Amino acid sequence: MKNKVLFFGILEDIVGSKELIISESNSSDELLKNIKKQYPELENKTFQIAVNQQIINTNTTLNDGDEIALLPPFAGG
Amino acid sequence: MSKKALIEGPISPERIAKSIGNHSSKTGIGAHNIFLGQVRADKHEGKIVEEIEYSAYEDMAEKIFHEIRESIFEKYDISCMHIYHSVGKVKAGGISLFVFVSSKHRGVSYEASRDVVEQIKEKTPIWKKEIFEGEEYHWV
Repeated sequence: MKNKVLFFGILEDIVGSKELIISESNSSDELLKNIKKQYPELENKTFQIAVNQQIINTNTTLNDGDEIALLPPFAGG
Repeated sequence: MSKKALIEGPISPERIAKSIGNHSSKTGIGAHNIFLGQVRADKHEGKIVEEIEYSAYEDMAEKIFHEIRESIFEKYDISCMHIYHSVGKVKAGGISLFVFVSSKHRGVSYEASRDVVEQIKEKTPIWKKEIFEGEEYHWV
């Protein structure tokens, strides 16, 4: 099981990359826990999570190949 | 899906003029409402913003622009609308957002235009990095 995780805005600076491939995370909560273990600085940041471009508000089961994105507060315009 | 809303670099005044001209054949329209977002040379701790670099979750942003468009057509009696937003670098004074709403009468064009801009701000996955002299930067 592998998932592409995208990072935007300030989160990209923290992680040092636009995307990572994360394996063996069966849910969004688990994935987040794994990423935060690797990048503890994310703990203090505000962001939303999108799975396949849909923002999720609760823990969500992940399938192989789902695209996850960590989205800091939007600042368009 | 309609054509892309995200444009690399600033939105040129020529593009805006051309877009106005493109509507001259649509003679049922009586009102155009245009909103333009311009990059401000804000000051932070004594440093002045020289340019803003916009980045986007592009596929999702295009999808959201499309959804905003659908919702506006459903809610207001408008004839047409266009959204353009910059990605990449735009210098202070450059245009980074162009919203163009046209309708038969003026009232609805003001309301719809404001609604579009507010929805873009709230829902579109776009971020901006203010770049100061000497390439120092600050995420907004």
